[in-house]
Amino acid sequence: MTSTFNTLKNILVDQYSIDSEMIQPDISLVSLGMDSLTLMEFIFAAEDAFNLRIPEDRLSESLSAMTLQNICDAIDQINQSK
Amino acid sequence: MQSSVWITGQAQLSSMGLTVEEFSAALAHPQSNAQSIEINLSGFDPFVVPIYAANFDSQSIKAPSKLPLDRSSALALGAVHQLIKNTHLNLDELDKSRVGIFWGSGMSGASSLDSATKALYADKRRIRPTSVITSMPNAPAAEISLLLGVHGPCLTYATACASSAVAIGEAMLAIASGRVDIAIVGGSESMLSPGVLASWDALRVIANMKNGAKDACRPFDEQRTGFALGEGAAAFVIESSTHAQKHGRSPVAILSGYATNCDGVHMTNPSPAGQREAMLGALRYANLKPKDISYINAHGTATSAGDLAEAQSITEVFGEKQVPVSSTKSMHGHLLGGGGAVELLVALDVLSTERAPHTVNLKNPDPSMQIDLIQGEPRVLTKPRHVMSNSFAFGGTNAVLIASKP
Repeated sequence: MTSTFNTLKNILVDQYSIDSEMIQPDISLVSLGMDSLTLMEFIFAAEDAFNLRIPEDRLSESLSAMTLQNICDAIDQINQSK
Repeated sequence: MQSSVWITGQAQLSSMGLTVEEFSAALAHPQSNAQSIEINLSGFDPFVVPIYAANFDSQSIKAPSKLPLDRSSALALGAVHQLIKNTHLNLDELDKSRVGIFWGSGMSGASSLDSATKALYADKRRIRPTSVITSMPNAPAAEISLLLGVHGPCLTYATACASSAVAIGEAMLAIASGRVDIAIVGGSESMLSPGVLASWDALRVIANMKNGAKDACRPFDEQRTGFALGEGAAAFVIESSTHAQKHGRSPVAILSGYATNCDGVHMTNPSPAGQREAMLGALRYANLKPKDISYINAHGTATSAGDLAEAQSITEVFGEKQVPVSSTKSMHGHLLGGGGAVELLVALDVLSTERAPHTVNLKNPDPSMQIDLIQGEPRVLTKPRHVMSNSFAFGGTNAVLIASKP
């Protein structure tokens, strides 16, 4: 697992009390119990952790399909282009 | 004949305890448990204010929305959890479209907004995405609706110090008119964050600390200097007598009278005429005479103008020293929007125990007031049948509730 994934996983475990066993790259965030508002809070916390802002067009996946890997990819791409 | 509205459940969280039983035990031995809080200012002496804080861990409450909770919402949810447990209310037995939520809060969310703006201005951090949802005044009622999954009216009343009294009264009217069968009612407030405390202090209505925090708030005393803010929530189940009987629930008390009106005179200066008409209106609704009331839980904020106006309006309605009166704000603090609900709970305790609390810290009653103030120790009442709770708000809204023995 990448360090990006592990950081996001820690946020999900610490702030959202999600069972760490359930947290896999390809799992949809909806299936972890998130809705549009909690997802917004989670992305905000992720942005704070990496000190960056993910543009809206990087989050174009529909909510029901969005996975943790989508967010990892967005963060890694922004970091690589810095 | 108006429908009979029963109170069939009660719950509370405040500085007087975290259950109704603890609240009742505290009323049997009235005392002040105010503390002080100090806030430093640049170029001025720090200001120190008395507060009544609830020994409540808001982190213990999980939001049904899974979002961050304002402490007022956490207190509301804590009280409703307790209410459902106390009343063994099985929501699956009810027509959920006919269950209402009527909640009161004067400044719910103000503390969260205070923290959010501090993050932006002082810490140069971004504001959280759901700050608006957390700090909107109807967040407590909305979280309660998610917790219970009910679909009737979900309304929040923001009439400052009268908010939860209005919420309870309007729910009573909704039940009496057949709009809903049953309602979860009450109010919550938590204003003990620096920005909110400083705003109240700037208005010069907070009691001074000359004699320490515990003695600061002195309702109806000639030395009174104002109130101390408190925090908490009180919640009730109220329902039509027909609905309660159908589901096998007994009344704690009958909610027999309510009236609300507005002074329409001044934002903060109270009008004895408006208060008088609100009390008379509640008596008319309950079909009672002034002599039928055995106890009044006064609004009694311990401000100079407020107590004087209330003493005058009570005298105009009831005559000189005709009905025992006390203010319990020196026990639980001023809960603003939560005050009417917590103080109704006091009135219900008086009905059931037949003992009325005295006004804590009342040493030298203001000689210009011609009301029968309970002083020094609780007073045993002879078969009280009906009790009144007054809530008179900034903005001019007056609300009066009457509860009666079943």
